[in-house]
Amino acid sequence: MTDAQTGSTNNQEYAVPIIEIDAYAPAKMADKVGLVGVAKSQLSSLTTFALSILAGVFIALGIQLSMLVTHTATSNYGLNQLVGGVAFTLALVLIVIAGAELFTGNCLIAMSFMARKITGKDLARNLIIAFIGNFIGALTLVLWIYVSKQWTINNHLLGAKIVLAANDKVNIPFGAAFARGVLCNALVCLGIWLCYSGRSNMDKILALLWPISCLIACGFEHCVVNMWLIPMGLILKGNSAVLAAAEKLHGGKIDLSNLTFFKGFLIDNLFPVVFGNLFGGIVLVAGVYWFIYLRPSKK
Amino acid sequence: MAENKVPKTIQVVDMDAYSPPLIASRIDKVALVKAKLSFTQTFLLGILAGVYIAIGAQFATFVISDSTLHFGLNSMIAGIVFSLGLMLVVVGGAELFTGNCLIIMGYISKRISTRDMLNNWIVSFAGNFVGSLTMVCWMSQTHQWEFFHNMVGAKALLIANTKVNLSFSAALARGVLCNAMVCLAIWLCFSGRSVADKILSIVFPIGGFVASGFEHCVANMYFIPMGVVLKKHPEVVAAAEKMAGKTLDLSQLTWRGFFVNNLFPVTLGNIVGGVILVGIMFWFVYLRPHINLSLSVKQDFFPDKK
Repeated sequence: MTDAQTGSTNNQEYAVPIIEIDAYAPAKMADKVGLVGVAKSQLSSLTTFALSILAGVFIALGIQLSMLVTHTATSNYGLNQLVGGVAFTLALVLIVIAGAELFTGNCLIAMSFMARKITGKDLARNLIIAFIGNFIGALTLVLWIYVSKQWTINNHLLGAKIVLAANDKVNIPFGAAFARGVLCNALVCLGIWLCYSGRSNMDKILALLWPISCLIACGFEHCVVNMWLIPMGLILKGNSAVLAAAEKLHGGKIDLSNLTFFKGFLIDNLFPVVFGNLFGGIVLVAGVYWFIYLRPSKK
Repeated sequence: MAENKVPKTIQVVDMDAYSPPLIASRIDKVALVKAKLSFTQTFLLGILAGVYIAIGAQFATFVISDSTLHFGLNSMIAGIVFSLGLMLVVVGGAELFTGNCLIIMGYISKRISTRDMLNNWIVSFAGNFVGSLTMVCWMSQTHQWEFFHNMVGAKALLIANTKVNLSFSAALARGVLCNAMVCLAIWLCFSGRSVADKILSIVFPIGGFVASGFEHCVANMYFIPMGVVLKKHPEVVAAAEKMAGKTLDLSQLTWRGFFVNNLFPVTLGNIVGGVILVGIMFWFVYLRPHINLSLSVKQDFFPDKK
């Protein structure tokens, strides 16, 4: 019964089924992000913690796959990086659709904070629990994949690739690590932002594919990825067969002196990368979209 | 028409993907449906699942049998084509033992009894085995392994031989990771509504586990018996040795090697991965009693702005 049939001017009187299947427009996405931020901050600490362990596991599954599909590449460097990036998208597909609390993606909760829906304490609590949970999840998979002996395939070439990648990561200068961290999390948060526009799984997976494969292919630094990759490199460094394969792959002696837990991993890599990730997520994505769509004068 | 007192109701047509709390409650209910299937239904659907996974497995073997691409890219392609198996299982409908590990969620919420759950697992496992062996018979009759100078058979033999030479702990760990990813793929499928959703959700986790070389017990029910059968053909062994570039030690590639070295640890690992890492973990997050997670919080819960 539409207005044209009844001649009524007030369609509030009648039951009008509203079927809207269009993608959400950016202004609505900002609303959704704001409300999801509130919902996430209301989760109990234990639930957040369990979900963030899962997120760490998912990211580790993605990055190990990405390492595996690129480790034998000898030419077409860029193209193989792209393949690695596409494979890594697995991680974000699992996090977004299956549900998990990822430290970097949760930087978007800052929008709820800026819109005064949650307190700074809520935001900090969520991010800190997510960070710790992600760390534990990633380390669990380090252990698990070490036991699975997957790194021995192809005459330890996979292990060699992981050691070399980890060694590259701990030798990045502070400024570069920070800048790569910023770009990385800007892309992660944009990927998640695009997901809020979609309705179906297919929408979300396709929306994630481009930003996420870009960040891995272009070598930007994601702190949770590094929580798997660098500890895995640290463990494999102790294996002489892997070291020999790494030297063969590298074509000469490699200097692994900085591949250590405290100095190399925590200080030289994780510290600048985490700050870069926070800046990229909170300021460049959450802050900018808050300013555009949710700032008080817009209401 | 002004006096028409039609009560104001708003019909909400929800087209969005199911959010994780809803996925959990859907799986919880599906456990009940699966537990109610009769023995014959479960067994026949189990045979279908075994056949489907074997079709995916032979497809993957075939596609990468004579590839000169590098190892990693090859594995990824194998993974992507292997997804066919799970697509048939999920969209077409079949009882796959590994995916059915998720019915643990219905068991913990006390919707089904221990007997129901074990019944489903054992019958679907047996069905999967029968289905896979049927495909082994069938594929060996097709003489598909003779294609391209026995290269297809050679690849199948090499795959099977690698699998039976894993150490116990490695097979167990790979089994855990494998079924975590299979159950996550099923979990993602429960989020989707259309077939396209489900297919895209399957490609990443299933392609991922196959490419990573993780061990799936039902896939191995095809891969390894196929290797055992092909071992009897000297021309295939010769082609495999040429492919590997060295003489092969096939002493472990027997039925005993299959059961003891591979199927036992892998099945255990699959149960741990599916039941604990995915089933119990997600049950704890979304379905445990006294949970203060408001289940009404969906992704489209923002109020309509009028």
